[in-house]
Amino acid sequence: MVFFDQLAANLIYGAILGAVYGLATMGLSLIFGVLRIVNVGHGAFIMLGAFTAFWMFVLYGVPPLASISLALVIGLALGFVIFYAIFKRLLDAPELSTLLATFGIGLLIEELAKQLWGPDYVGYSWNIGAIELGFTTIPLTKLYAFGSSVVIAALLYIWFQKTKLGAAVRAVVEDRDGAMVCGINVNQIYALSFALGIGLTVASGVLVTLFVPVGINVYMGGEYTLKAFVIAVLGGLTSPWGAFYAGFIFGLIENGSYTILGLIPGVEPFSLTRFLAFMLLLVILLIKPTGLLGGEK
Amino acid sequence: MSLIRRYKPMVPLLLVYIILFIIGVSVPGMWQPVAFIMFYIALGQAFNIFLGLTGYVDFGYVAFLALGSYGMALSLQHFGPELGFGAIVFGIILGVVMSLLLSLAVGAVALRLRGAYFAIATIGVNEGFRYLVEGLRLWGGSEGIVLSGKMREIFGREMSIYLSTFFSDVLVFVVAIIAGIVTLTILKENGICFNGIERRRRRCKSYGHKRY
Repeated sequence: MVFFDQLAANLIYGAILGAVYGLATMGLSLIFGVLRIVNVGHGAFIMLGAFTAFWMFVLYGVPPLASISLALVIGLALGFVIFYAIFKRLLDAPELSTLLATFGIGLLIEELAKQLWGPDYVGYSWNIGAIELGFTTIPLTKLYAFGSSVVIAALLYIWFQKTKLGAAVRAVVEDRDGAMVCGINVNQIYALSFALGIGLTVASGVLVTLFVPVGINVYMGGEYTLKAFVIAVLGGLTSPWGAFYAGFIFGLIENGSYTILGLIPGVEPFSLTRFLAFMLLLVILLIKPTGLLGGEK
Repeated sequence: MSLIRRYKPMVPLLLVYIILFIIGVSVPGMWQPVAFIMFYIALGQAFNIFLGLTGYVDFGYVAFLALGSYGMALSLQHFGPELGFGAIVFGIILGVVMSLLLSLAVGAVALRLRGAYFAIATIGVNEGFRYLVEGLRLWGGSEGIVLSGKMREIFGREMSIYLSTFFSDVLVFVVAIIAGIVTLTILKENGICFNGIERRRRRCKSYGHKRY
């Protein structure tokens, strides 16, 4: 009975965390979907969002959820600067160049952050109560993070489907040359998509801080980059919506398997869940590289 | 004569190594920085054979470096007391074999893919392997294997310090020289088919070479 209570609690927690994972991966998928750039430095932008929440809370007492809009603005600004300074020149370059460029940008951001904020773990405590479910207790902060992820993803969906700019982005993804003929400024759409992708990633970093009991540090992003790759591939790599749904699935697998693997004596279930995640990634890459949840062929 | 001509491009490289070696042994306090430089040269050359020459991006590359270390550590831990110095030679061989086996596993999966998918798959295989070692608590799990005590037990205090601070660094020089020769040989022997295999897949195929 205790096992099932624990499993149910972990699955609920997995779904909540999965929504944040999904949001954290949408930026990666958006950038790859539009620009064909794999952002290997993805985690560094999550770290920036996490530190935005931390400093706003510590210095000004701003609740983390209120920091999301600031993080989004910082991410958008950073995205535009990075695109026009670097990636505009690399649009037609070989894939190797963009991969190494994003890798380098990630390292640069992490090392600059280390110079500014140091390498140590820091954290804050934002306690606003909890919901008692009988078999488990869910902190409200985590529920708000879940709600915020869903709302941001839904707003993005509406923006893509109902606005002219969103339609322009979809047109560029569909056919770059055709969009150009129709009068769409493709470079501007690339810049906007890149900035939006980075903005979403930085914003998700704010929510990530509500799930890290040990605190945050400048190298925290590496783990999220790896998870984001698994989720992005699961969701189809080119599809932000696929990534969001895949985040849920990943969260459920990660937390559900943790409970089950914890029954095996002599193993480290926390590491084995990650092993399973990477095995899942490899299986999907081999049998269906376009992702389980769609994505282009 | 042809041999001299063939390895002529190695001369500047060897000269740099010799100069670095002389600086390392003659200037006090410079041996460790020089050893680090050589380590990164060797690592860079080995990485270049794959990324630079083939055009494939392997983000899980350091897993091979880790397996080399594990090979030596396991050899010293399990065979050190019986084999003595032979355990060092066996450790080098074991490290190479273990890395080779992982490279076959990575290749079997990742070389079926291209571009970004290849890069992600290499991360998947190597990170998956890392978490498997940690999760099953193989080879000391996340704590790893601490060798200093074992080495003192096998070789004595003075010799273990000599092995870990001088001999191992000299071996790094040897690895860097081997990496240089391998790079040169690959460029000479396999030419275009190794150089830029990712970019020139069709040409390689027409020559009858397999990518994997």
